[in-house]
Amino acid sequence: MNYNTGLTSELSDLIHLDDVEAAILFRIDGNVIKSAFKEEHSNEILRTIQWCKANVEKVSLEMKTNNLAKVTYELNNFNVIFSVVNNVTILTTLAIRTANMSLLSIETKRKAMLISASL
Amino acid sequence: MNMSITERISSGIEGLDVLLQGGMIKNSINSIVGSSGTGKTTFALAYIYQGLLEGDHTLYLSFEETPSKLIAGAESLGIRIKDVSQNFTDLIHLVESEKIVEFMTNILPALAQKLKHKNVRHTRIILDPLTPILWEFPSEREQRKVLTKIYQHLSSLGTVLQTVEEPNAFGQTDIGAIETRVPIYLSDTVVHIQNLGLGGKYNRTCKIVKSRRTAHHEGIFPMHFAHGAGIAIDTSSIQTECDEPSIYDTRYNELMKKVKQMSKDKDPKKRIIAQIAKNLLNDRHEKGDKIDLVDAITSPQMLQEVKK
Repeated sequence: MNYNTGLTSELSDLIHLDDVEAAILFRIDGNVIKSAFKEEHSNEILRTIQWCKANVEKVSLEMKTNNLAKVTYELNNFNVIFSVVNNVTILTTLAIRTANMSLLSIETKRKAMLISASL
Repeated sequence: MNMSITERISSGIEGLDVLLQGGMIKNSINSIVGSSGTGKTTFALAYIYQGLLEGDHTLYLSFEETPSKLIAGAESLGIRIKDVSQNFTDLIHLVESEKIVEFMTNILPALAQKLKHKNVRHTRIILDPLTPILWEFPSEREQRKVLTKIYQHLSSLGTVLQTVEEPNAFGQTDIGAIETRVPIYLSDTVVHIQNLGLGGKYNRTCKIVKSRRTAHHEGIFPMHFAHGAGIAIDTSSIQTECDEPSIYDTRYNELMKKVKQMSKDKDPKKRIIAQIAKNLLNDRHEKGDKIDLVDAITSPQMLQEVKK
């Protein structure tokens, strides 16, 4: 399978979860590799995405330095989960504040592994 | 404005023409920006090689490397400049650092005028790297003044490709740095190449920062060094958007022309080779495989097969 099709389908799977609003695969310098969003998205989520893009480099450096596999932020009514995919890419999942974080943690970890395998 | 009617030339870099909707605009200024070791000179060598294949006049001005070193570098990547140019040592001109100012302000405009009078059809001009010129003019105002003048002369002559060094530590990037600001501002097209040095598919990437008069593709695209092509950009993520990818591939069309000419040759061996190449081309067209047809029609092994 084309690696690109693989990425698209993994991210689409993720946003099909009820609580997930957006899934973005970032390169650690803040460049977007691939993204998927729920059809209706608000200005608020765009603000959060902008924050993610601006901070992904800093967060990924922190994760690498402290050997963290996952970092969660609560921001603007969203939960933002950063999961390490490989040395250069990081999966960012934006979910609603009331999301089931245990379930989401497992699912994002699984997706990060699948994306890593397809890259 | 209809962007598709602009006359374009093939860059010679696999995938870049797809991102630029058909190639570089004729008589435009194109910048390749990247830090050390990202592949800027390889871009330039692939560009000059494509020019030689298409019969363009070429002018490669090197401000750092000697011609023999550049040719050796190209050969090691399978860019066979020697095969398409008999006087390959005259292709690249080394401009010594103490003569840069004089060269850029006096000699180059005069050279441009001379070539214009010679009625050269189209020239590919390479400035590799532009950075030493920028160092000669530290203030942005001066840089702008000098570069505007140079670009006016050069763009009247042909299509310019210049490489610009991004002044950062390895793996870091800052395209908006003072050292790159003026050339980026004045260029028609800016291609930013990066190497994070950490491995993986998105370690080396290419991004079109701007391209005037072009609805270029956005996003970052994986890039790798490839034997034969020099550099290849993976555009598979947008290939489905193109109805007919082959129309963007001018090298493919050029080779098809050559094969057609060969098929009419008196020499029966050449006609057979042309037939084999045609079969390979059609096969590539159907399957989308990457086959270097220069190899296919000039390889001694292929000739031996034909003899058998």
